[in-house]
Amino acid sequence: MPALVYLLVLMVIPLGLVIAYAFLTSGRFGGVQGPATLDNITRLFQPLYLEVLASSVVNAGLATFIAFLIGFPAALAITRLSLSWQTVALIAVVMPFWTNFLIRTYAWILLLNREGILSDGLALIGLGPIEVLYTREAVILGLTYAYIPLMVLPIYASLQRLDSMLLEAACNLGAGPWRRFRTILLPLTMPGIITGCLFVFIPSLGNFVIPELLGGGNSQMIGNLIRDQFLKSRDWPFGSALSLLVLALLVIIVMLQASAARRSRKWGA
Amino acid sequence: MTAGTPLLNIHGVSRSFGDIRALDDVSLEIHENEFFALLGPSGCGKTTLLRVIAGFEQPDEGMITLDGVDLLPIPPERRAVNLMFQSYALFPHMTVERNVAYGLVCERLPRDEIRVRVDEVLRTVGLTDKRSSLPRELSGGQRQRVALARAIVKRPRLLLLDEPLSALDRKIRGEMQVELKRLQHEVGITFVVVTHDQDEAMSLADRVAVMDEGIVRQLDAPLDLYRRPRSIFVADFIGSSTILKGTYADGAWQAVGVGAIAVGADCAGAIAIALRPEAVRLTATEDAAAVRLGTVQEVYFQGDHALALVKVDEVAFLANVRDDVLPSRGSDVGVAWDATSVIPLFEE
Ligand SMILES: Nc1ncnc2c1ncn2[C@@H]1O[C@H](COP(=O)(O)OP(=O)(O)OP(=O)(O)O)[C@@H](O)[C@H]1O
Ligand SMILES: [Mg+2]
Repeated sequence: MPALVYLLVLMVIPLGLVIAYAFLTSGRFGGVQGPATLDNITRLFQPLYLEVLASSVVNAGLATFIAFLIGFPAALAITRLSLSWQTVALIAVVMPFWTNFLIRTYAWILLLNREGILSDGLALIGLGPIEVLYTREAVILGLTYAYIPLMVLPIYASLQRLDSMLLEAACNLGAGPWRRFRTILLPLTMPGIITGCLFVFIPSLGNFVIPELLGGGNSQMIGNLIRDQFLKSRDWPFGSALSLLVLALLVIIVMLQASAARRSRKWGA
Repeated sequence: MTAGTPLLNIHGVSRSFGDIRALDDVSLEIHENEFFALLGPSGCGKTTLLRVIAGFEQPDEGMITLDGVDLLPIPPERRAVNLMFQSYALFPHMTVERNVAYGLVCERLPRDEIRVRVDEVLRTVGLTDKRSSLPRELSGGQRQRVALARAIVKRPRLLLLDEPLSALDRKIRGEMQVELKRLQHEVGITFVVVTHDQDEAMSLADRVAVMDEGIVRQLDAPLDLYRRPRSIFVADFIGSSTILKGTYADGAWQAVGVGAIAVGADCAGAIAIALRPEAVRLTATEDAAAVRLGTVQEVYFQGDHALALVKVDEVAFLANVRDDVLPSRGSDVGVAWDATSVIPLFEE
């Protein structure tokens, strides 16, 4: 019963409001008013907005991919530690979450700006100074950094469950390290990898703080656009329509994930 | 069968885990086409020895050669040795066919050849109709055969089997033992089988190494192991026997608790003697052949015969008796044996 209330208050009602708003006309000072219309939905398909969506997907996708490239070996390295060191390493992985998200993002400004450590350091070896801040790369870096623990943890969990004997068996049958990774490790930890990717991709896609702080004006993402509709343009209906667009995309992705998970459950423990 | 060139030579191999000496100066030679068994109680180092041979553990000391080539510097994936794991370790996300083909794909063999060899080996283990099943859809016995097929399809020089039959029930186990033996003749691979089931070792193997606490206690053909155990441990572990500790003096065995016993073998330097239950007869108390008199304590049925436990003073004797002449519990009997059937034991 409490679950039902929870679901109703936190999911069904807000979602219902967003859906309803998307089909109404915007009020003069925010809010919504009649009559009902499809204008907001058709407006979504203007190239301008589709481009922002596409570049957001690319940013979030790249951040997810990089987080995987770093997170998988990190998770693997953690499983090779002794049990007590594994605990220490896992605490270290989630440690950044103990600090406020905004503060951590501001810290990157200090690191990345023209007078920052990165630029100075590169200058020392003759590669700088460079400007990373307020570029698209900075946004991707920021997203990767912010969510990489969410990649490491599920991958770590599925590596833990993997029977190390399987890797030895593959080795005994003549598989070198790369083949063992490709044919055993990767497929058998796929559920964890997919979960980790979703955990990074979903919050990255809707994020508007990082593009704003690290991307400056150049790297708007769909989250910024939605935020602006509500807070600047005061066009709640169109903001709602954009939100639904993102939501639809995520629903499709989660459904794909669910079917992959079903497939791997078929293998059994 | 035991003659032939040594295929695998293990020399002075030791491996410790902390304080535990899992392998203690193990030396063995395994011959081409031999069916070799490693027998010993749980934790005696059998799996560790196989893992050292397969390359998953490095020994602290010692040498291993395969076909005269030093094996230790070769990484596990390039050793011509296949290991069938105690837990099978089948790949859960691959069908039977892909599991079996895995080792051949690793060798980058042409697709057609892989198909032919996989078909052939699946036929050998009788799993052709299960080729598209996933491991979890198979019974324990079928899984075991997949694991076996996956190992033999590589045609290794040496096949290591870690308790291949321990997960099976008694009946399938008997069938699989016959199967293993047939397979070994058919494919002509050298087998090293680990087991802690003595019957399995005795019925399958050409030679058996009995291990205890990392040490090879005795290495012999099954019959010799049974007839001439050297130590109390082996006499006790292989079959059952009555063990009489004591000393050898004046041409007789001065057994603790039973007194002097005539012996047919030279017992100089022995620390105990053993009597196999089939060498011990029960007689009437007044029978002249009776060596000692005792009381029947317990009778255990064994199918075609029974095992009687007879108390002589403080010592328990084991004797086989026929089903049709079972002594009753508590009855007084004579215990008799030939002096020639006494087995001297020289070690603990
Ligand atoms: N990786 C390891 N770390 C620590 N100790 C180990 C390790 N592997 C084996 N041992 C120890 O070495 C000894 C021998 O183990 P091993 O697995 O070889 O026994 P086994 O003869 O195969 O026993 P079983 O019949 O139960 O399989 C045991 O005391 C075990 O606890
Ligand atoms: Mg073992």
